[in-house]
Amino acid sequence: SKGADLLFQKKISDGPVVGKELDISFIIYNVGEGAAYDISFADTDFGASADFEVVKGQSSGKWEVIEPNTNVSQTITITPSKGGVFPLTSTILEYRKSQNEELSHTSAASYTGMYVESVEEFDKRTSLHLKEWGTFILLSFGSVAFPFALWSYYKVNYENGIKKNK
Amino acid sequence: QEDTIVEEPVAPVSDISFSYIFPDYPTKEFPAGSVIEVLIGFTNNGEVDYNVSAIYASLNHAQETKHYIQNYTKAEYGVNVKPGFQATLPYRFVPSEYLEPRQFALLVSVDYRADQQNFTSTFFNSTILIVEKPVSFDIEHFFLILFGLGLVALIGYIVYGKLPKAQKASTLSIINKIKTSAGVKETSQKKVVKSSAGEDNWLIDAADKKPKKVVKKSNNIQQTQKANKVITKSQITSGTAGIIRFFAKLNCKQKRSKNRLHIKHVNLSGQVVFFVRAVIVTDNSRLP
Repeated sequence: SKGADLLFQKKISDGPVVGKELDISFIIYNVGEGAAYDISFADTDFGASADFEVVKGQSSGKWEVIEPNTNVSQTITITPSKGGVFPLTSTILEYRKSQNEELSHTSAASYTGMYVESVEEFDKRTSLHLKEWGTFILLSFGSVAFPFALWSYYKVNYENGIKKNK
Repeated sequence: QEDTIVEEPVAPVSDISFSYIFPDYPTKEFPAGSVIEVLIGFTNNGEVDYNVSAIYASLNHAQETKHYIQNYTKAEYGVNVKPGFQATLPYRFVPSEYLEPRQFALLVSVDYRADQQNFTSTFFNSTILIVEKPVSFDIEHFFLILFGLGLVALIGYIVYGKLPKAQKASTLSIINKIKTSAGVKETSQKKVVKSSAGEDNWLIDAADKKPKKVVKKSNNIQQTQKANKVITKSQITSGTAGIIRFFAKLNCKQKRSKNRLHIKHVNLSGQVVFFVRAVIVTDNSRLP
């Protein structure tokens, strides 16, 4: 097979979190020896669903030609509106292996599902735990403050072990 | 015996073809400890459906490929590929960060099935290069910096170690002056307090501020003076006092000026102060 050979990847860059922007890239690599023609795909997982809000970009793409050993990509930015597991389908990529050949099909079976983390879970995992640290510092300060108070009381009221005259 | 093992039948080459790409590492130089992703194109040129069940990889010795170095987790897929279709499957593995940076043989295999028959194809079998992972935080540099800091601290310590000698000399001369003006030859503690006009501050302060109490308690002192160290031993029994007693003893053998200086810093309670005074007086009485 001397024609084009395309590999199609549906790539989710970060861990999906509710309310946070998420980039989904569709990357097409031509690993064949010839150029590919009339390339197109249309993903239905994100654009049509009510659970995802499209921020920018689109989940479909069209190229006339992809030269060998190059790649093209299309990115869609979405905001998941609720957490949970979302099933993802294979996106079909259509192209011609050479100018006169009929259409070939490549599917991107990158993921069977996508887990969207809830805001609470994300915060729990990534927060700086200021409240916990604050409590810790306060408690450890207490254990230092008590002996310090004793010492400073002595320092103010006594001199050389004898009570000061006021 | 090897003949008895049922070999897995391999699908006709014409039916299935593979293609692959390492998108992040096209030169096949993999940093140890990083996630390596490979995209595998599984093309069905046959007449029946093929189902990709799993992909797995292993790192073997570059020359003796039978010798396994690392086996990577098998990824399950269960992706059906219709005739005339191609599926792109991603597979990720992490070469151990402890691997020596050198050449290895990488084997990537695909398990697939059609009509209740299982097939295995090792579509990738070639040498790859494991390289060192570029790290922003280098442990070697960290210890080098730590060593440098330690060296600086050592020099600082040595320099500081020479300072106290000079300080001691200066304090000695000052205290000698004080002694001569304060009438060191006096034997009773009361007289010492009275005669030490100004310079012997720490004694005067305590005595002037609480003259009555000092007088009352000075019974103790006078006893102490009479019995010297014997009484002080019986009076001071606590741990802290013991330490102070030790210092005082030690200082008694040394110069009086030093004695005074040290004790001034360590006295913590009235009792100790009396004891200290007693020592000084005792000490003073021994002066020629």
